[in-house]
Amino acid sequence: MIEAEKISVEFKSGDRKINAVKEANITIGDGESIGLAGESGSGKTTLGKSLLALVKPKEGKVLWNGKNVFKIKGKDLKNFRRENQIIYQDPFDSIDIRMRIYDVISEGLTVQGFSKQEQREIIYSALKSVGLNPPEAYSNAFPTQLSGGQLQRVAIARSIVLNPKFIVADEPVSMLDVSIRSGILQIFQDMKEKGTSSLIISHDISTLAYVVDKIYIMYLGHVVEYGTTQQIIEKPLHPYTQALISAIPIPEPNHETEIKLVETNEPVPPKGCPLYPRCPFRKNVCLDNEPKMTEVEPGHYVSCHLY
Amino acid sequence: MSSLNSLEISSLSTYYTTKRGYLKAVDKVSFNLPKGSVLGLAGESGSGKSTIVNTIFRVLPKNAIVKEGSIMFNNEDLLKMNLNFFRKEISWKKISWIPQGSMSILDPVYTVKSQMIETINAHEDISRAEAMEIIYKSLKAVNLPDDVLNKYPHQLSGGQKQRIVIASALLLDPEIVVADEPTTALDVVVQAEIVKLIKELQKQRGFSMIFVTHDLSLLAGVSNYLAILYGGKLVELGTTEDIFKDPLHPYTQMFLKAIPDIRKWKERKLYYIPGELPDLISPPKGCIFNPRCPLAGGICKESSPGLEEVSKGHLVACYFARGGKRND
Amino acid sequence: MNRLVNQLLHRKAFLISLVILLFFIFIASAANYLTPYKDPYTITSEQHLAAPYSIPIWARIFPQYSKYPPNTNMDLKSPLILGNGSESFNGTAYTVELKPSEYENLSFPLSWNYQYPYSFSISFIAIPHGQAAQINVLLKQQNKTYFLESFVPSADQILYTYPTCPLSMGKTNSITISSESLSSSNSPYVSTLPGNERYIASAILPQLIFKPGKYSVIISIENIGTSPLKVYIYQPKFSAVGRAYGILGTDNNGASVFAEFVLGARFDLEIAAIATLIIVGIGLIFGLVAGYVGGKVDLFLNALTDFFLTIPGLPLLITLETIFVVSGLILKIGIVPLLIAIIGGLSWMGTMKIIRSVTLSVRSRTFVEASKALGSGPFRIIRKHVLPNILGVVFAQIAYDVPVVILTESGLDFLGLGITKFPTWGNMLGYASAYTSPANGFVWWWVLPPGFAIIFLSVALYFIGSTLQDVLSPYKVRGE
Repeated sequence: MIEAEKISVEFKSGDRKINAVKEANITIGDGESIGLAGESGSGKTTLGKSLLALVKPKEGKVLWNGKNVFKIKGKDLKNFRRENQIIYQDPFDSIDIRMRIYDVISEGLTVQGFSKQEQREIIYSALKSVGLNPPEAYSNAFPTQLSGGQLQRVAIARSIVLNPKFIVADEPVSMLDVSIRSGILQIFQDMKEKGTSSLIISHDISTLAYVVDKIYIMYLGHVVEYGTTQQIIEKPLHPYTQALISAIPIPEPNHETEIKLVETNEPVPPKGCPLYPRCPFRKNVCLDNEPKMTEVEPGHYVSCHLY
Repeated sequence: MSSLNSLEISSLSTYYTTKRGYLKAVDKVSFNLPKGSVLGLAGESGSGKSTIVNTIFRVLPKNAIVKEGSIMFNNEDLLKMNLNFFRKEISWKKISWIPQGSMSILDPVYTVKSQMIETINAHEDISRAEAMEIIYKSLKAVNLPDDVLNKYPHQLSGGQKQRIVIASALLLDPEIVVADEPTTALDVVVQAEIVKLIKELQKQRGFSMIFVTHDLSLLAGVSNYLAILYGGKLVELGTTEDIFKDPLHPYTQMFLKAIPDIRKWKERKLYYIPGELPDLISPPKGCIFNPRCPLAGGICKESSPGLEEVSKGHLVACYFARGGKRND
Repeated sequence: MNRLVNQLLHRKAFLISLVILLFFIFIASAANYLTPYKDPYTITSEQHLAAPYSIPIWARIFPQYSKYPPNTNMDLKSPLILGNGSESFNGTAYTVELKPSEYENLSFPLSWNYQYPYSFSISFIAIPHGQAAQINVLLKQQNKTYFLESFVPSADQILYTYPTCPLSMGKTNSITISSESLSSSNSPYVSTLPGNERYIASAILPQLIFKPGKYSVIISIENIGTSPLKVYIYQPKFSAVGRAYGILGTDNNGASVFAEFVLGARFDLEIAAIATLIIVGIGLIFGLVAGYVGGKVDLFLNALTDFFLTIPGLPLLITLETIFVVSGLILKIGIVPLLIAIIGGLSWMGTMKIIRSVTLSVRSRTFVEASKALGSGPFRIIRKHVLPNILGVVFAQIAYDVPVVILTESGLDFLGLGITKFPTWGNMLGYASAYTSPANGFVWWWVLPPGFAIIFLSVALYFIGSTLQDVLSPYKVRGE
């Protein structure tokens, strides 16, 4: 179980400070599969990485079995790394292409102190479980000899050999062709059945909806709404979530997507709601007061002055 | 060429020379773009859709050769035209381009205004005042305020930049617009806005359009006709309606199934096409899709099926497509 | 690995460069076998091997040099005998027996096909038994005879109007007549020359005497006593110091330029290797730490690098040389370690900046973060991911830094601020340019070899560096 409390991440670029994530809370229970959706720049990747202590937040803490992950060291840290893994968007960048596939996958095992004999067995069975058969053929290949889809499977194998309890997947299929995406997502579903919890980060809610139990929606660094997949897809409350879902293209001729946000160049108010400039339902209160997260129905939270 | 079509591509083959031999990026692709309509050119990576666009605009890299085929526009073959004439009189003026990333066309060191004026001056001999008039008109058309003209590209949002690119493409009132993945880098909401804008502009102005994308769901709402590409070959061609309602090629069928539909999320059933995209330098013998195809029989491994009309205006390249004749 | 070698071998520029580099490495490491000399600058016996500014032997293929003589050393043999005494030869010695007032001439033929030599000498051993003998040495060309020296017992010297040299009767007389030692006080010929020529006789004698043609060296023996005389003559020899020498001629001291070139190559490559190790070592460590750790450490190391960039090398070198080498005030340090320290200490900054920037770009790649997420510590990440990925740049830096060291060191030597007492390419160029004049043909054989060596080595290393960088960079291999 991983629990993030009031995480705020700030990036400095020159003299400018960018609030990538602002006071975000997120809880991932054991065996849960969570989706984190939002547009690019909404801070979803940053939040995902801070759960794994790969990004250091300005404020807030992430609790892993009750320990703050930013404070742990030594053996605890090593265990934390083993139990919590990440899969990146671009397999060509997340894999060091100088290394053979076998060495790519064995890296985590070596670091975690597995013997050479143990490693071989684990690596071969992991390659099989991500659909790279026969493992002997793949393990000797170089990353340049594989396609993007195959390489992403390698990246997944590298994570699952450590038998993690929690996996963050950062846009795991967005670089891949549509026809093979589901093959990768299938691996996540299989892992879920084995009890591995996951946080899948994606800008594509329609894909997320197929695989996750709960969805968190982020906008400009804020978590604006979260609930079960059903609550979010069928009864979105936040104006941004509503816009996001209605803008999803539907594979059906002559289907009109609805555009529910205002187009504008207005700046985001410093203290108010981040959606204020684009919100069709905005009120005066939204300009000066940031809305608080409220539970509208059991398990469905939204941060909007309308509720 | 027929006066009903604004562009006729016939038997176009574009290969790249590599150390291992020819890479058949586009192999004998033929389709027409009827006047005033939108043709969706859909395919995954390596399907040859970008190569077709680059061939139309004659901006192929040095190692590419057009093996055969023609691209007819107003009874003239674009591929045989004098290159300088093509660049001055056809490219951008008659056939313009909305490219994938706005950054590839917007130069970060010039203001929007100077870039748009330069575009006009490259093709038309008109005064600055006349040029400005055209620019104001086209900005209005894409719903942008005039003050963006004096801004630099980095001061604009992604959606605004893409609108400027669209405005630039329409500056010279082209007959054909080729939109090459115009929304790839954009967020879902902005994507919907841009697609809506392109659709409206197309209806208002009546230009013909080729809309290139890997995202079939986008095309569903935009295009009148669909051309499905796989591994450099055209596998299915027809009206958007026909192809979505009654896809004939196994690839099209499986591809459509693999597209997530938010309305069906509860089914939680994910489909995908097993296997990998073909190696275009040494493609599989027979039908290019046969290694991944569930229907593939003996004939499919022997010879490659040609495009055949199955019902009116609906063509498919498959031996086993419903109603298709087996040639064995 | 095989693919790498294959790729390298398919690049012409790299192959040619490699051949050039291997050539220099070969002559540097085989220096002891290629030349017997250790230091032609300070060991005088390694100088005056031939005339100063001797041309290379092979240069005689050019018409203007075709008649230049090489060093010549020959035994004089098969003499013509003329006279009224009796004579015999037993294989080692000529025995001449003369009654009073008889004489005998041994006339050794000598064919000379060159222009005049730098100097010449005639030597033999004479053992006269008897009362008194006169031994004259003459050089004859057609009808012109040069009476070089005359030897008589010292008691009889007073009897002659021309200059003579003493001869010890009954003892072994080692006689050497060298053009350099002939003067109006010992040579009858020189004493007949006009006044001013007499004083510079030793320098101009070869010129006065030798032209291409047939000569005879005549050893003439006369019994000037009253009893029979028996004279043994051993080992008659003729030798000339030539004006064409070796593979690369000679310098102003007549020392072998080839020896200097080879010794210079060894020294230059050694100093380049050591200094480059220092440069790349400092650059790599600082660059890696600054690039990988980032933050304040990066800021500090960058500032330090910039500080070093502002230090002017030349004044610092002169100051340090004065303190440590010339005066030995604080510590007596040799010029070589000082040079290495200065060049190494002032040349690593560029390398550091480049290593830092490639480290930064590798560090920002996702696979580094992925490795961290797997539990790797910073040292493992640097060792397994960062270093292998910047290896191409490191090798390239080594290749780029070697010419920098050689050029800097050569520049200092050329100016006379570096090494002056031992041959290096730089000081060869320096001395050569100091002694260059139209009269000695601009000593091209002295100037060009070190000059071209520096140029070729630098260019070759540049190409090797850029090829290695290209081939070792994994993200180029991918074909992007």
